[in-house]
Amino acid sequence: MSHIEYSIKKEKVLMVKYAGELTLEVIEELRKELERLLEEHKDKVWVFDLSEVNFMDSSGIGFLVHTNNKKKMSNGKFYLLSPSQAVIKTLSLVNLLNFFEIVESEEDLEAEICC
Amino acid sequence: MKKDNYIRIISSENDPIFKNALNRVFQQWEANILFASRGEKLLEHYFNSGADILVISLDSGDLTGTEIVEYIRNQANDSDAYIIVTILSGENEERNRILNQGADDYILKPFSAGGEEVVARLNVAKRHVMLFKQVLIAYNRLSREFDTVSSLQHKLLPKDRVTFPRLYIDSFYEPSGRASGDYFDFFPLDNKRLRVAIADVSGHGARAAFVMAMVRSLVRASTIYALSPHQLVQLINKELCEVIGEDMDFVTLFLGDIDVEEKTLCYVNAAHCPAILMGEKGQMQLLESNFSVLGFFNQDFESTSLSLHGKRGLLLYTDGYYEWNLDRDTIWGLGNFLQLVTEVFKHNRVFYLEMLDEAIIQEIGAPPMYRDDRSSLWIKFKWEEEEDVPY
Repeated sequence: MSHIEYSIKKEKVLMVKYAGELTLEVIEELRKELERLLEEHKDKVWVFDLSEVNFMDSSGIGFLVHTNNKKKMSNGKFYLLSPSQAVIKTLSLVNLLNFFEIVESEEDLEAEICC
Repeated sequence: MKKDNYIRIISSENDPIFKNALNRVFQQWEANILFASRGEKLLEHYFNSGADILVISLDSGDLTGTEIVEYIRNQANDSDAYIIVTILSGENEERNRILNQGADDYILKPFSAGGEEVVARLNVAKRHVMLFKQVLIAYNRLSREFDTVSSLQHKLLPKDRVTFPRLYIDSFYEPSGRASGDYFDFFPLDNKRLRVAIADVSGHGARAAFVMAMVRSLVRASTIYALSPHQLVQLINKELCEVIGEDMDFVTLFLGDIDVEEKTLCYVNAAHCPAILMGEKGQMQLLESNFSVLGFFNQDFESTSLSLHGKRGLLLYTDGYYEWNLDRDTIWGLGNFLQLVTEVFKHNRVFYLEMLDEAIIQEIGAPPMYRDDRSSLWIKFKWEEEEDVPY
């Protein structure tokens, strides 16, 4: 079962936490669900907490790259927070680990955003 | 083929007011209306001809309406037939029960003299059946389109057993649906070089099949312009970036040229799972990806060349082989797959691709529930005369 929750941190960060499998079966629904939310908070920093993603397939990769590109095009910031080993492994396999800005904790995120 | 307005109705409700209403509602239709005096007779008609609409009297003699509804929904697994149950006014508690059991509607008896309510309820049923038939027609049309896509896609894949000097080629392809995002290919560039490719488009279905066809066209066209592996991958990436743009699709690709005179492999691995170069003595060399996925951003690709002296063959595959669940929370994974390949090669002098499936089943004790398309290519090098080892 997958689960999504989001929160606004200090009025400048949209934090989206997704738990479960990030796969073809859920991507379309997730994309629809997040589209409005991301648009609504387009001026904020977007952070995806992927610490509880236990599997990610190519559709999940596509979704993350798409979101990253979208944010970068508007000169915004997009971070992956504490990605699970499953996410790290999959992104490494397709040489995309360095493509994303990754932070290990909320403290690191705070430091990144401040400076 | 039945006409769109053909409808099959079976009823164990025999009240004259009801029968009259039924005829009024369906007089413009080519309706096959059967009446059954008892529940078992109704089921007999149902089994003989099926039904679009079933009208079941709650008291159907030998069987209750509840039993019939339960049987049709849960035993015959028919969720398509529209079921109306006629209930005596006093049997109020039956209404919710029969709806929960799977009936779509109920009509209270005795019917009003003009049968107006019965007509109205039957019109609801008629609209429902018409809509269902339209959905079915649209579904069948789409289904035929998908079959066409699937058939065209199969034609884009190379035929097995292509002969090339000093190489033996084996391929395996199993799409998870009718249209797939997997692509593999092999064809001669000249009389000493064979080009091999394996690619995986993210996602499934028609969209993935379209991108796959595009990659295939570029790979095949490259022979005309004598593009090297890295030049070709560069071109594919550029074209995909233009076409895919801001969408979420991408492609992973392993592309290589095997030179049987020089005994070399010149390749690019763009984010595809590691190709396996098997040594004669069972040692495995992984040709891992040096580049990222295709279709998202520009990259400067370079080809890598290596010697194939002392090598047994090249195994290419897609991630469908290892991205499946061992149990609810565990993915089998690349590590297990590589281990299994090592074991298969260690214990077999002869190798063919079906052995991978056999070994996986042996390993876990049952066929896995694959979730993705699967393709593989085995290119066996025949550097020496090996009369006794064909593969």
